[in-house]
Amino acid sequence: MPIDLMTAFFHQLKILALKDKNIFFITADHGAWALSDFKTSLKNQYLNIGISEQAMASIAAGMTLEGKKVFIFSITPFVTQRCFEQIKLDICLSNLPVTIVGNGSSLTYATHGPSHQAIEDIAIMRSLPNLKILHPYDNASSKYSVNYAYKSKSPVYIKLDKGFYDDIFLKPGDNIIKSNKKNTKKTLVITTGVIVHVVSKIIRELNKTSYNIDLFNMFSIKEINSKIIKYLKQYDKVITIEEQNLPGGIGSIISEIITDNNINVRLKRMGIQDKYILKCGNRDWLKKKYSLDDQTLYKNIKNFCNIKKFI
Amino acid sequence: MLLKKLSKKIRLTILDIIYNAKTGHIGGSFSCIDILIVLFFQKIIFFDPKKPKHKNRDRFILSKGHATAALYSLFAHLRYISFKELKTYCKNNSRLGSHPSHLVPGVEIETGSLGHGLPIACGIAYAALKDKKNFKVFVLISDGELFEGSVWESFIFASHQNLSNLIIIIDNNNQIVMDYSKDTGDLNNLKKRFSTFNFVVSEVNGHDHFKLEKILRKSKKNKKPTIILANTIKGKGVSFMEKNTKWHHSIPSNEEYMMAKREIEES
Repeated sequence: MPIDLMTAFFHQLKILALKDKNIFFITADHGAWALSDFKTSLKNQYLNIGISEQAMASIAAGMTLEGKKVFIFSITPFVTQRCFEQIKLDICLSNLPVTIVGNGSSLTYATHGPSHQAIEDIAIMRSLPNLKILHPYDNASSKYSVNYAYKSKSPVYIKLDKGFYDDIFLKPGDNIIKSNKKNTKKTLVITTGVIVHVVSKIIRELNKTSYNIDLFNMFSIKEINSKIIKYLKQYDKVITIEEQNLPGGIGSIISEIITDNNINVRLKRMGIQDKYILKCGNRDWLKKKYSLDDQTLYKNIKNFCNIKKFI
Repeated sequence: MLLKKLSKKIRLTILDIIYNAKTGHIGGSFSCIDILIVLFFQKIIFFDPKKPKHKNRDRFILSKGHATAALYSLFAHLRYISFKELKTYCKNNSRLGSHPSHLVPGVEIETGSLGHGLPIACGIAYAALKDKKNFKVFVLISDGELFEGSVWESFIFASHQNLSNLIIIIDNNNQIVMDYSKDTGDLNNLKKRFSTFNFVVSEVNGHDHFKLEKILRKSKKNKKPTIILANTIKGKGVSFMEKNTKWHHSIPSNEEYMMAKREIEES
């Protein structure tokens, strides 16, 4: 039976926790179907602390000081923004290897409204020294993020999505898919998270015509892969696509890299235009409202590829 | 050395380092120094500065992190750090800042923003109980931290998990930065409120070394989490600073320094 991205995460965590009694999982009263197996099998390594995200982050820091490998879990805004200062001061400042697992990446919780949506987390979490940020996009990368966090000597934030996705790359990590066309007028599209599946489809379609677009997926948000600098230098135009608010997101990261490395490239950032939508609807409906649906992305990518490098 | 004499000496050290650094928190350092003296000089806390990471050491968290003038002065008198180093307090490139750094032996983790130390202490205590370790976890918080939600989250946790190895001492000086606690929020009947949790609750004069020692020694044997409400006076030892909101973090002028010094020496 196929399993989803979250189940893959908890299966892998269970495998590790069965071998290492120091692994400890704390939830701030947030459940998941995939978590129930871990909870039943590893009662002594599991705790529902109640709706106490601030205490949870600090308690995890205290337990880590005593050698525990703690994973803390809740809906993304609650486990990142509600306890941001605890993550900053009690975890990142001392570089304690606590793993923060945010459930419901980006617009996953569309119907729940902006309180539950996670569109600002990359911006705020990437401002923290010592913290690594991983954004799984399929089962393989989901499992990989568990293993990475387990071995890490530093804190890790895992921005966890849900749903069923095919493994898109040969191995998990930051990956590039090249069009292999010889045309020199190339565009690079950079994206992150599960939206990569839609974006890769759009690029495949466009590349069937005269377009020449490569795709780079950022799995590790904070650690800038040196390859990305090399890649950016090879393109006329770059597009970033993210199901995130634009200020501070991956478009900002790429913009900073371009500036810091004096790269001569034209950049277009596609994402949420610094606003909240208060009316409710499902993820696809909300993506359309934010101009991140398949058709709008297709049109916007195409349009940007057609314009000159510099006006 | 009599603790009273020691208390005078360390108060003078606190006064000196804050006066020289032109920064620091004098009021809250004077309110908690007697508690720290009893904890460390009377060896309530098991700690060997030569083995600061000894696995069986008792853990101490200064949650009211702004009182490093008290903590580091005490550490100098205990020879955990040298008096020469103490002179670098808040100076460039010093590890002795106005809030604790774990670069200093005896400091487990950085604190400063209020309401963090107690949940960290809870995490340490919880992990220790899980691993059946015998050390105790002491955390010194200020009554001002009771305004923070994370502190009450931690009370719920400590009570529910029966963290019997956790000893919470509240420096109850009745003042926050700008005002008196009672004028800002309802912190009345604290003992009664704490007694609704699964805690051993006691109240003591936080400047009475004998009573503090007695209650702290007893607390190490408690089968439940402990809360000690230590009633103190902010600025204790210098009459013009006592209970005066000006002295949360004011720096004495030359004249005030001399007056304070004389009063402590002659007390």
